[in-house]
Amino acid sequence: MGKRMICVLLVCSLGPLALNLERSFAQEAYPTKPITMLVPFPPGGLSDTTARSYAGAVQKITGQPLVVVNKPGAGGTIAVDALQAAKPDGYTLLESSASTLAHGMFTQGVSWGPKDFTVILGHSLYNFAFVVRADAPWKNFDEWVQYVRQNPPFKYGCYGNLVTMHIVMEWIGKRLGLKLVPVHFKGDAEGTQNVLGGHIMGHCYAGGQDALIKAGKMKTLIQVTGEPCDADPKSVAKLKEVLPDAPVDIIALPRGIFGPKGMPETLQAKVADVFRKATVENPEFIRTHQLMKMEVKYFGPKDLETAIQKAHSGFGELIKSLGLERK
Amino acid sequence: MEMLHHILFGFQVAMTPANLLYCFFGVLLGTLIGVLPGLGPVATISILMPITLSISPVSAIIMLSGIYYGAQYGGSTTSILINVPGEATSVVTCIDGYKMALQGRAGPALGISAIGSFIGGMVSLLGVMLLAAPLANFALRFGPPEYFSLIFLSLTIVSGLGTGSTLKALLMAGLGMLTGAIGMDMSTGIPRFTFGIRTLYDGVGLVPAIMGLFGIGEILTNIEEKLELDIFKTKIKRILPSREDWVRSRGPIGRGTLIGFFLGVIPGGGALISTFASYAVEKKISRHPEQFGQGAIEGVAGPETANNAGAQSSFIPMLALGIPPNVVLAVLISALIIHGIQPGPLLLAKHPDLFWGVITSMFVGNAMLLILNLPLVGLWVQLLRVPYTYLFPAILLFCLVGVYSITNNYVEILLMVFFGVVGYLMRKFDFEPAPFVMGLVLSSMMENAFRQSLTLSEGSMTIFFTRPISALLMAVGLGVLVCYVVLGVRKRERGAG
Repeated sequence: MGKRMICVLLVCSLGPLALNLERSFAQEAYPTKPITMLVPFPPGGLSDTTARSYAGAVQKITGQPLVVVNKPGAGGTIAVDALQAAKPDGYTLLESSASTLAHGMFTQGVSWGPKDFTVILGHSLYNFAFVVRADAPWKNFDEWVQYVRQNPPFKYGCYGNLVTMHIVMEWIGKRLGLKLVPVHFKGDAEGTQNVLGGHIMGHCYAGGQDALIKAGKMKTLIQVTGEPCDADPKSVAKLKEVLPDAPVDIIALPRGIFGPKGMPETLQAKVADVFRKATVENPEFIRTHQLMKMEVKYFGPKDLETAIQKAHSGFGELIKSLGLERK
Repeated sequence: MEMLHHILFGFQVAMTPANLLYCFFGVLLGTLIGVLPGLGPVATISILMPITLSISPVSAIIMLSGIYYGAQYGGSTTSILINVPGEATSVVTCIDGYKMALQGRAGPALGISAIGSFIGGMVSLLGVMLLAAPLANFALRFGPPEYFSLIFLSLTIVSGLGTGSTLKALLMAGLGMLTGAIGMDMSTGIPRFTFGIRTLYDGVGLVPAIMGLFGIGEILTNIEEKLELDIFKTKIKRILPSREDWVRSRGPIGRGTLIGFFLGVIPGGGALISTFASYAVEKKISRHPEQFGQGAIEGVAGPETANNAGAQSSFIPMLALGIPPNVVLAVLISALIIHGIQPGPLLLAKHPDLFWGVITSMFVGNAMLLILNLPLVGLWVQLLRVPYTYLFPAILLFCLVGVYSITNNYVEILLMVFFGVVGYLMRKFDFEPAPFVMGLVLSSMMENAFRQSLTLSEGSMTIFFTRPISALLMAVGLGVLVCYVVLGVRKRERGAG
């Protein structure tokens, strides 16, 4: 028994030593093994398409493959749970909208918040817009407001509950005194289908509406972030111009890459460097996002952190004032 | 004719040696995935996406589509041989297909399945080519009230799925519907019956439920009974369907094609519903309804044809409008975007080679699948000779790996095991899993459609009766209900008298 105890104790004490060695080596060269990118939505969606559009570039830049792992569910929070369980060694990352992290506490009832992550970078903006049928009787935002005032309530399609565009529309409704009623669809495909079929006049989008606008079937009524996809973008009202007090900064956040809490600053910088090259500086990434009409824009770790913090602190009040908080 | 010109152009694209190879690889892989329970086209397509980036978009889509409809062919194999559906659309095939296998008629079942799938696929493709635009517009006319009425109609024929007591079938359907209510409610965001388990926020997954009820449940039952599987060893009679099988299957194949083709165009589960619908219709029309559930070949021919016809026609909303009708085609659309092609109403105009190339490649693919699958029937049947002690661990392994591969979430495995126990108990007490699955699939769709409809109508129930398509479907559904009640009352009177 004595010998065995000594052996066990030796191994136990050497173990952590070995781990420490590994970690300090890892800090020298990154990456030395494949990187896992968690994606919070099923294959085929916007997040998944984005991750796969830079996966190849990551392999080219680092020589290590980027493995996309879809962990869909619960509005993107299951993937976040998986991220939190991972080691902050830069080999497990999350491709997500910053909104999930900033607002999750309010929209999904989770216990984590912005402090529980390491922000790597932001790479693009959603194309948030409210889009209606091309043959709708209103030519612009003002005409629509008039119409809604005279014919309440107005039913609009939305791709989820307490998602960004839902909150934007609720805010617009409260601000302008309009009665707007959301009809919740399971994603953009169902929403688009219903608009094209004439069952509803308009639907909220976060991106991907370009094809239908180009084909002349739909037109943008109000643009929240990004550039309108319409043939004459100048003719489309932008929310910040029409209603300057719109809390767009609090509601609409960029999309980016995140790591678990506790990544050391040098590692964070290394990872940010790799992914900056693979995203905003990568022509394939730019092309894919141009096609989806999502503006490619770089947000450094510190800038994005600040934006998320601001969005998080302002959100609780906003939700309460709109009467949308969970009971 | 212009159409002929398009078709010839399409064949030019599809018949290049490279594209033929990609098509073959796609359908072969698809068949394999369809056969393996749990593993689905979605996981495979997303794994293969990086590879497809290095080939031309047309070739990529040809291969990926091949995987999708190839899986529909393969899905019936395990349904028939071991009562484990390879795909959700093969659930109904289990009912009669497995019974046929137990009677030593696995060969004819597999054969009719392949042939029916082929005919359904080809005819459906013809329809896709000729009717893509008008059909796409027809599909668009299905808004929330029409979906609700369609599902209501489907539910009225659900008792057609039960082979034993109607009451038990309805009970299982009801339980399935209750299970379908689990999850985060779409309109209010309130989690229902989730008990704090995050994985349940999106509801009970169809794949863990089916794999559990059919796969694990079957294994548990067989282990307990130490089944007399020597039946397999002695009674494998024919490999090909007999003349009588042909005659009996002609009608179901024809009807299955129509049902599958039209229902497959409707986004969001149309192909799945078409399998249930085909089975119920065949049972109602048949002169020997009591044979259903005991190995009636109509119960295999109809649904299998329907699911393949539906798989082809489900490409219509995707190619004509850019709307993916299910998750698999959503992944295909994503592949297009990564290749720099924007799916949508302009796809045909901007990329005619893609549109016609893919459609004609599906003709080629279906032919390849028939040639692949028919000779394999003999091989699959030999699988039944493997002693069950070696077979069931393999099945178990595939189910576990398959379920995990979809969402990378171990909680789904636990769910599957739970349903396995439920499935075992169901069989013990003579309840059937098929109506449960139907209830599970339809309940959330039905509820969402109902609430969307009422929001649109501002609370008025008349919306279901004022819109033409919805009114028609509701009328038929109510008519079926009334028939049941009247027939039921008459039966009781006759019994009492």
